[in-house]
Amino acid sequence: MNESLFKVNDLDLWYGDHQALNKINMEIEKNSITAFIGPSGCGKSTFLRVLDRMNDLIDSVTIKGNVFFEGKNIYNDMDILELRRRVGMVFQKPNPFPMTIFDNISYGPKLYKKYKKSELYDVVEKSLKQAALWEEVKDRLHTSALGLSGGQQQRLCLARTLAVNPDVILMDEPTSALDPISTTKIEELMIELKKEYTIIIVTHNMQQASRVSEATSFFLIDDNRRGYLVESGETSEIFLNPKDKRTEDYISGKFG
Amino acid sequence: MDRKKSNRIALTLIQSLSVLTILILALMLSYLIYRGLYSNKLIEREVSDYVNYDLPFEVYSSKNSNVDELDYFTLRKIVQGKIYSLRKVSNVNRDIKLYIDPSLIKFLSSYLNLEISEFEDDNVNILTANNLINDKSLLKELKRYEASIIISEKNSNIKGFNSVEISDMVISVNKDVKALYDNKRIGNLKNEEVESLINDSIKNWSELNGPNLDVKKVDSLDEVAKISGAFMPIQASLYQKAINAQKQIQSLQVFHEVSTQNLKLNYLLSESEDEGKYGGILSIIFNTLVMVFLTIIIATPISVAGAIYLVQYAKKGKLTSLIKTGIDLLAAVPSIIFGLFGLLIFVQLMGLGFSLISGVLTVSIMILPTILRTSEEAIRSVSPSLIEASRGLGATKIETIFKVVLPSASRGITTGIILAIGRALGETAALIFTIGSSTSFVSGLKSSSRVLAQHIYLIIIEGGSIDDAFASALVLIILVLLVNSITKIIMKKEIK
Repeated sequence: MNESLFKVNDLDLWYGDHQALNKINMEIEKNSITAFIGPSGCGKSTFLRVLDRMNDLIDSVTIKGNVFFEGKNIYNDMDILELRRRVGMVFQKPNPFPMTIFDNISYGPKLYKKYKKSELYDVVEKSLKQAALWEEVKDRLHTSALGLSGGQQQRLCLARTLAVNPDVILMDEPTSALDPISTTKIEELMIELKKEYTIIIVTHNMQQASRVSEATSFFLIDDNRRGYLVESGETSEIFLNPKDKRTEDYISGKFG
Repeated sequence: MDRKKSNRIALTLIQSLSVLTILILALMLSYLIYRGLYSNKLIEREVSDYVNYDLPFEVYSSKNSNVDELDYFTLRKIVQGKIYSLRKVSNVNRDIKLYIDPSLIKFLSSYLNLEISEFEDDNVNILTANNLINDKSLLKELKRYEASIIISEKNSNIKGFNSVEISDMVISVNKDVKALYDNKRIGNLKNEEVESLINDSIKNWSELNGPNLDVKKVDSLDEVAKISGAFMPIQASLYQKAINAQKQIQSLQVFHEVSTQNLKLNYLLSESEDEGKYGGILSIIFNTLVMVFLTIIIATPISVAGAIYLVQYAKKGKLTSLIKTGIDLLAAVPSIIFGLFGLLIFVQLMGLGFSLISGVLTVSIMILPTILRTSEEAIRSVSPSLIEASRGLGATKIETIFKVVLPSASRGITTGIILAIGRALGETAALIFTIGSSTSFVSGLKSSSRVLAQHIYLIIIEGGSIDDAFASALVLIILVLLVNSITKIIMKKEIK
């Protein structure tokens, strides 16, 4: 059993008057892949965005409860910018900046430190290699990132996240906009990256969750349209031997 | 079937409307370009250019004088000193420097019906043609000077000057022909009418709107004076002689068509003179560019900052929507009202006077809403996912705005700036009350100045030359096109 990286205690979240998350308790292990599954609107993406405080961008969001990252409360004891550097995020739709490939990758590193050109080049090369994109783009680093295919763009976004050297990578349905081949590539990458990073992925794709993740958390929505955690545990347990009837129904496709 | 028919009708309608739009645009643009480049004028004169008599002398003018044709009476007045500047002759505001070959003095005296003592002393420099041709430095000076006129022997072949044609045929008529008849009077003749008159195709003066008299072509001025309805084409010199001898004859005025190149390099490259009546527009073009540049420099940061605030910071509420309504209102306010505001606030209250800075500040305020609104739209349309990506990497809000939002919105912001430049370039009303009207190069923020659009307005208001107005208009159009395309090129480079 690895040490736990995130620890969430009794987390409630409101969008204005509407409560979207209800009493979430969870622990997430280091150097593993955790999958969040559940029907649409159950709050799993919202919960993912709690982990690097992306919900702070929305004015109406209020939060109760505690989230600890390496033992520190992320809402009180940690600098938000430091948190976001250490907890990176890859979004549902590839969202490269309308800049060159090189500028996309070096955008993050340049925020934190002044680099010499050669150092920056090294960072870019390393990140692109980690994201298995280097071979495809090394000859056109200074062309627009918008010229890449969707799958390449998503790997570019992954490389951009990796460039700031995070500990955790949050992935919000990273393959939902991609074709099967690009999806396979991203999945292979995730397994590769697990050695150095902790990965948390939100997915609607059951097979994906079972293929890549060690731990799975299943979210549902209650009668008041509040998201809550049904159960979480090892992926094999959840998929083969769920404790909760609702989990079994969802996984076997009875609803969702 | 019915739907198909109505579709076809709608399509035809749309097509014909779009063709109409293009036609109107093309028509207007080509007329403006034509009038800017060429000038066609009808001038009434006492002589006709239908026949030119052979003369034993030749007249030359310097290239920049715009003179390539003179009539007998104008030449006479120039030699007499009654016309001492070319401003009435060819709109060039320079005193004439006249050189006459001494061997021609005698002939000219009888030809122009002037005593030698009547030749104006101060201006007439009498040199031998030989000397003039050999005196290289003098020739050079004359060539450069805008209002040199040389009268020399025939075929003296002076290079670098215009050869000036002298028209000297007068249609002399009996005074009855010009009398008021049935509330009508014979008008100015066109060249074709002169031709038909001389070729005997016109039998009665009423055909030319004159009295009901038979046309009689006669052979002497005495007959012209005596016979009712008589006329005779005659060399101006002889006509003048007869007038001097108190003969009772009159002449018909003839329309002379002058078609010249209007917008000349010289006009573009020389400074304005006499409050814009003469000279070129170089200083005014310069002032215009300075005004627009300063205006954009002042207005862009303010309005882009305002746009950022409205999109990224302002909370939705009554105040924000009030501000937005205010900005829209400001965009719709006629520019003359901005001019009035500028006059009261900048010119008078702040004591800046009629100066470049008053004008610049007024126009800046005027174009603020244009840039602000387009920038706001551009910033608002930057995908939120880009902002999330940047914030997710740990960038602060300000870092995100400067590094991601503004670059992504640059195309829209540039569009706003181009629109604003267009508005500033063409601004007249807001500047009349604020910037002054001096035509010289601006020497500082406090100096009075004049811009192109305002120059066009002032030319017309002050009764200046329409040709100048069209030339300036063409320059203004080209300037707008130029500024637009330069901005587009810069924008394209930025995006790459």
